[in-house]
Amino acid sequence: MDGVDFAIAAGEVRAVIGPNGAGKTTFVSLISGRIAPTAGSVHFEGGDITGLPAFKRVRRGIAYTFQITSIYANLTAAENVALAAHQTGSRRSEIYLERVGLAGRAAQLAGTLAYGHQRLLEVAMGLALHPKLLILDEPTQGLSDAEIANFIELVRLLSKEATVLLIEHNMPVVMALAHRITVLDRGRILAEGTPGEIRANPQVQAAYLGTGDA
Amino acid sequence: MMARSVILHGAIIVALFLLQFVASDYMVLTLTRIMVLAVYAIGYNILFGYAGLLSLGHAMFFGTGLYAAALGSTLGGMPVLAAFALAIIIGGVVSLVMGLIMLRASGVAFMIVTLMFSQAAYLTILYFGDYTRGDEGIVIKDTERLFSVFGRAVDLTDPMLRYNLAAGLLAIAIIVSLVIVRSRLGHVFIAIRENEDRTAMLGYDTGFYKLAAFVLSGTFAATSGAAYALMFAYAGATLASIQYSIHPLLWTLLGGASTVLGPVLGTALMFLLVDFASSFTSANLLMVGAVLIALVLFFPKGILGTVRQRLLPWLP
Repeated sequence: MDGVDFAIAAGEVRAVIGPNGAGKTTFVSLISGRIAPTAGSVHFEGGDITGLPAFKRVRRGIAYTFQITSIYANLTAAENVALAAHQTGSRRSEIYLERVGLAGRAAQLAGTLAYGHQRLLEVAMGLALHPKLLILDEPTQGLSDAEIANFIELVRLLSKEATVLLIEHNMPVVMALAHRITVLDRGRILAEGTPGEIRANPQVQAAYLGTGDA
Repeated sequence: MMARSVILHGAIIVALFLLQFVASDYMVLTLTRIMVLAVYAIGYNILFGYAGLLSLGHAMFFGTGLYAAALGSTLGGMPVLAAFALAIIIGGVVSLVMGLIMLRASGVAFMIVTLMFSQAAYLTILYFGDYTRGDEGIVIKDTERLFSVFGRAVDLTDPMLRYNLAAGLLAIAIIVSLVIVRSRLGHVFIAIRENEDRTAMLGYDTGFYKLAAFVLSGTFAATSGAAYALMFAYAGATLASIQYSIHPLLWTLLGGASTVLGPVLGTALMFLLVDFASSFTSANLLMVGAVLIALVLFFPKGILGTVRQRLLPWLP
C-alpha cells in the first residue's frame, strides 16, 4: 500500500474494488489488524488503533469476515456463532442464525453446510460480534444468483446498524449496495466517489471496468 | 446433556474408589500408579487434545514436580504436604516461564522447542547429580513420609491409604478437567485448535488462552510428578527422560484426545497391556506397537473419541 488516504463515515456502505493484486485484502488487513503497517496510522472512532493487535480491534467493534470461508468446520453452526458471541451456551445463537436465514441449520456441523450457507454463517458470526464496522471480504464469491439477491437484502438490513466495508468483484452487487466506491490499483487509490461518478471515470474504465458498460 | 456427563464421570470416580475392595494387593499398587499417572495424562490432554498444541517435552514438568517434592522432602526437610504444595507452585511457575518462551513457536517448531528444552532439563538433572543423584535417583525415607492431618497420622507406606489418596487426586483432576472443558476457557481452547486465526478475529486473545492451556497442563503434570515422588518414595532422572514425554501422548491418543476420560482409560489400558505382555514375553513393547497400529487403523480418534463419534455424541 502506498499513500492511501482513506476515511469511511459511520453508517456508510463503502465498496472497495480493484483488479486482482490491487491490494484490497492487504488494505482491509491493515484496518482489521491482521497485518501491521510499516508506516502510517489507522484511526477508529477518534482513537489511534495502529498499535492494537487484531483481537483488540475486534473488541472495539471492527469485525472481519474472511474471503476464504474460515468457519469451525468440526463445530455446529450454533457453536460457531456462540464463539463469535463470546458465549458458552448456544441459545442466543438462534437470533443471529435466524437473521441470515440459517435457523433450521443450528445443529448441523458447519463443515457439512452448503457453500452458500457457510458464507452466510460467516456473516452470522460477524453479526454476533455486534460490530460498528463490518468488513466483508468478497462475500458473494461462489454464490448463486438467487443467493446473491438474498445477500444484497441482508447487507441492506445490516447497514442500518453498522458501517459496512465491502470488498467485491461482482459489479452489480457493488452498484446495488455501495453509497461510495473506492477503486484501488497497485496499492494506490485510483478514484473515489459515488457509483455514478466511478462509472463515468475514464481512468477507472481504463484500469478496471474495461469497456465501461459494467 | 449436562446431567448425563456429570453422572457418568461421577460413576467412574465412585467405581475407582470401590475397586480397592476387590483388587489384589498387586492390583492395588498398579492401580495407584495408573491413577497418579492418569493425572499427568489428563493435564497433557488439556494442551494437546483441547488446545491442539502437541508438546514433546512434558516430562520436564512432570520432572519438575517430581524433583521439587523429593528435594523439598529430603534436602529441605519439609513435611509431605508442604513439599507437595511447593512442587505444584514451582510446577506452575516453571510452566508459565517455559510457556512464555515456547509458545513463540507454533506447529512443528513448537514440538521441537518443547523436545529440546525438555532434553536440556533432563541433562541438567544429570549434571547436578550431587543433589539429584542422577539415574540412581533419590529415595525418600519412610520416616519422611509420615505426616498428620487434623491430628490424624497419615503413613504413605500404607498401600490402601495411598490408593485412596491417588483416587482422590484423580477425582479432583477429572472434575477440574470437566469444569475447564465446559467453561468458556475450554470452548476457546477448542476454537484455537480448530482455527487459531479465526479465533483471534473473533476478538479472543489467543496468545493468552494458549498460555493458560500450557500452564494448566504443566501444573497438572507437576502435580502428578510430585504425587508420584511422595507416594512411591522415589525420584530418578529416567522419570524426566524423553520416554515420559511420549507416554502421556500415547495414553491420550489411545484413550481418546479431547475427551475428559480418554487419558484415564488410555493410561490404564497401556499399563495393563505392558503388564500382561511382560508376563510371558520380554518383547512387551512389540505388543504395544501392535496395539498402536491397530489404534491408528481402527480407532484413529482413540477409543473414547470413536465411541463419541459413533455412539455417544454428548461425551465431553
